[in-house]
Amino acid sequence: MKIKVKDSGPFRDGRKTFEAGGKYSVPDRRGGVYVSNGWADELPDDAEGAFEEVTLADVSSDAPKPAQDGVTLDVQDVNHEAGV
Amino acid sequence: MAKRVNPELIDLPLTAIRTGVGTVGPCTNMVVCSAEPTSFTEANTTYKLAEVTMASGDFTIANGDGAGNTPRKVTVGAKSGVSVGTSGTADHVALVDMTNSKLLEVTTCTSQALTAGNTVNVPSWKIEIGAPT
Repeated sequence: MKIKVKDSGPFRDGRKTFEAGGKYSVPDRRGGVYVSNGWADELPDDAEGAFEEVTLADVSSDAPKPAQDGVTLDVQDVNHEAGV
Repeated sequence: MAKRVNPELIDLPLTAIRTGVGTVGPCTNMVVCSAEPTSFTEANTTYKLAEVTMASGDFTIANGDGAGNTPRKVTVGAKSGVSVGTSGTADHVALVDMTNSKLLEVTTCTSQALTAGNTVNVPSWKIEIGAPT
């Protein structure tokens, strides 16, 4: 299932950049993330115009935690096993 | 029997991050990205969501936590109140050298939505180089 969205501002998901004012047809679960975070507005299924098709392969593979001001990232340490 | 390396040798790449070695480093900025950057441009432009300046005092070099002779690590200091410049899903953090346009180190973070205008905190994290095996 897909939903149609119009971006309210530029944002990035994985390697994909969504341009402000752009119209996209995105997987519904991903679109829900964009709408709930205020990055895009959902449009009706019969909305007219050209919509860029976006697949899950185009975006980050993991569902993100919801946006929150002052959130602290969960950063993983790096271990170079081989040594010198 | 054990294998051993002079810790000063292992410290060279860690020192490159902290204060620079030759034309590599020091790290001048830490960048939060929406995907794994594989180049300086990707970290600094293509996937950048937020960034903060770094100084040598943000990096502490010490003995590592692993076993053997002799792991070493650099601890990257925490940064709070970092402004989010572009909205997106953060899943990587990178250290870059703006002076020499080099991508120095990349790590992962749990996927987190960030909205432009908000702030984000980056906790302390470590880069360890293990002992020879």
